[in-house]
Amino acid sequence: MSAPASHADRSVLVTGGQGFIGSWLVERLLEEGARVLVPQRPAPERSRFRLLGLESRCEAMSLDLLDFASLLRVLEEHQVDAVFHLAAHTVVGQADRSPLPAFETNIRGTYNLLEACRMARLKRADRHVVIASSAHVYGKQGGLPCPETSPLRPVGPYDVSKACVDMIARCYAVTHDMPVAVTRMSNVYGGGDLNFSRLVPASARALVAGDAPVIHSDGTPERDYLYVEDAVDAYLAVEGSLRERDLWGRAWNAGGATPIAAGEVVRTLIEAAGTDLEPEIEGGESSDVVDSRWVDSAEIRTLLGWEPRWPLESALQKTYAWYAEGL
Amino acid sequence: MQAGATFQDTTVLVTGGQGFIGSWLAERLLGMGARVVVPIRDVHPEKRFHAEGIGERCILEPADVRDYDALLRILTKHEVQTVFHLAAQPIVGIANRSPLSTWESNVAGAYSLLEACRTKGTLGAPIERIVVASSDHAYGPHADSPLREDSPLEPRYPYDVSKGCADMIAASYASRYGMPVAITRLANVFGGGDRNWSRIVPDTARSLARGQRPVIRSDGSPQRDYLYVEDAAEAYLSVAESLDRSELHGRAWNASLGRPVSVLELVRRLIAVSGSDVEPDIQGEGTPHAEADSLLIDSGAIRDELGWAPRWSLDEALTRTYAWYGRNVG
Repeated sequence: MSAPASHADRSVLVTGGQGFIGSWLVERLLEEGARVLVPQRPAPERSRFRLLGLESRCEAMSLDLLDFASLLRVLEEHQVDAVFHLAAHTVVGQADRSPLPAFETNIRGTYNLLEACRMARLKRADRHVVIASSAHVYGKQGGLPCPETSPLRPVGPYDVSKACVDMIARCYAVTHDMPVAVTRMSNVYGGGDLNFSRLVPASARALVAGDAPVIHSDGTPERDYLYVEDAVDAYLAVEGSLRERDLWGRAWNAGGATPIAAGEVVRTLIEAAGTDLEPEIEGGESSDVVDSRWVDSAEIRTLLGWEPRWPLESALQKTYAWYAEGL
Repeated sequence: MQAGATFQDTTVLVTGGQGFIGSWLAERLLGMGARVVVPIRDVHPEKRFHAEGIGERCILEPADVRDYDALLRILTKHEVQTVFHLAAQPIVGIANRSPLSTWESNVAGAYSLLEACRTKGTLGAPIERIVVASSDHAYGPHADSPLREDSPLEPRYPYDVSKGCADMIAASYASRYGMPVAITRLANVFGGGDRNWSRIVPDTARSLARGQRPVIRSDGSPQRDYLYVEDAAEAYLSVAESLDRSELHGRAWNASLGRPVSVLELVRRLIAVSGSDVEPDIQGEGTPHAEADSLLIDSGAIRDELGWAPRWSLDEALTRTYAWYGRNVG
């Protein structure tokens, strides 16, 4: 295992940099002294990217993932050393209601970016491309946790879009000998997630307002939850792995050590908020195709030395503190 | 089972109708009394679709399968009931050299068309049957063949990945929106009209028609599963008819002759049916990068559940095929 590379003086493009996970990654890269490029996009007023003033520390590129020429220009003119591709339609329900924009952004956006990287001779071993896939690509699996070798069995449009991204990205490493890696992370939570259709943001927002959190399911569906700062560590570890040629083209799972039921997550968050509210359990049908999602993170632990550093309790305390202050 | 009256007096869209397999399918549909609509991007007058008078019996619409608006307009204007989506960039080597145009046609083309079909349904006139051409390549390299339809899709190279993507996207429209979508995964299709000279059958047939020795780039040993184009067209029709049974929506269907044929055997048989006695020129290079060495698929499902079976033996199919090249390339 080797320590993640320092990014001092490197030009790093982070698509989705204004987003939830992106803002944490951008912050880390800036701390390491990187020059960080993000596509120009209006960041929501209450986004972490704005609140922390990351906006004024990044260079905002006129760049559209659906505009191939704009990608090529930015990669060439700004001598980009590394790309973290996090931009995507990330809300499963939205993607299912309106699949075309999700397919366009997720699939076409990714192949445009990879193709621009290929054309821009982004093939040198020190110029790395990390593509965000998702644990959703596994769909329904017989045995859990699933290792990276599990077949991809996505069902709905969002999950399928991520599986396409995943297969396309890896094929660039194999076919065009490019330093590309794919991440498959489980449910990432932490301060700055403004997608309130998700369990942690929705529950935190309710608690900040003094309301009881609502659990739409019966509280039993299990996921492995990954704290966002651990997710950032995983992104950096995966990027560092690309210094080794024989690790090009791999997909890397990263998730919490054990799956946790929705009810337990919410109870832990209630404790973190210091209240004694009881969650409201609706007991409805989950819209998700699986009862349990759990990825096996043995590879990234063993080969890249990554470990989640944050236990659920302290991570949820930190998370709650952000919502209490940020909202 | 023969596709009977299902398509008579109905309107059928065949994307890729101008192409090799599409032209046979369009011709068959015309023969059954269907109105056949074919979107056309580039025009290739030399193709059998035009040269054999198929195109003039179809309704041609200028459109790129990437163009959702144009597709929706065509589906609506002609009140299309059945869609066969065959349009694709079909050449493995081109996909390696030019991935972008392959992603655009094969992946974005698939979701643009499916989305146009979904939208048409929300406007109150759902498409009744949608058949999307995937490929046996979508499976990727597998150690254990023959492959059944529930084998995982593990494509590695661009063409294979593009088909794997289209395959998964198509299935998601059936599972999430309850649309009547089916997927075909056909083996290597050969027959008259294939002008992709990088493929073994067209290349060999052309050499023979010109009185030249056929060249085998490999050592002749790689085995593939093949399917004659008229049997392929019949498989498409059977799969489309299966969609009248809602329990079969979202299924993928393999179809092939069902036995491994080495390149050398194929070339020797083609030489024999052409009435020649030349020896092939075996160059003995390895299997080209990005092509599976041997891939066999199991067509048990389409045979047992849909009653499809190849009508032509390999020799009969090669005889018909060679006749076409003999007439058309000299």
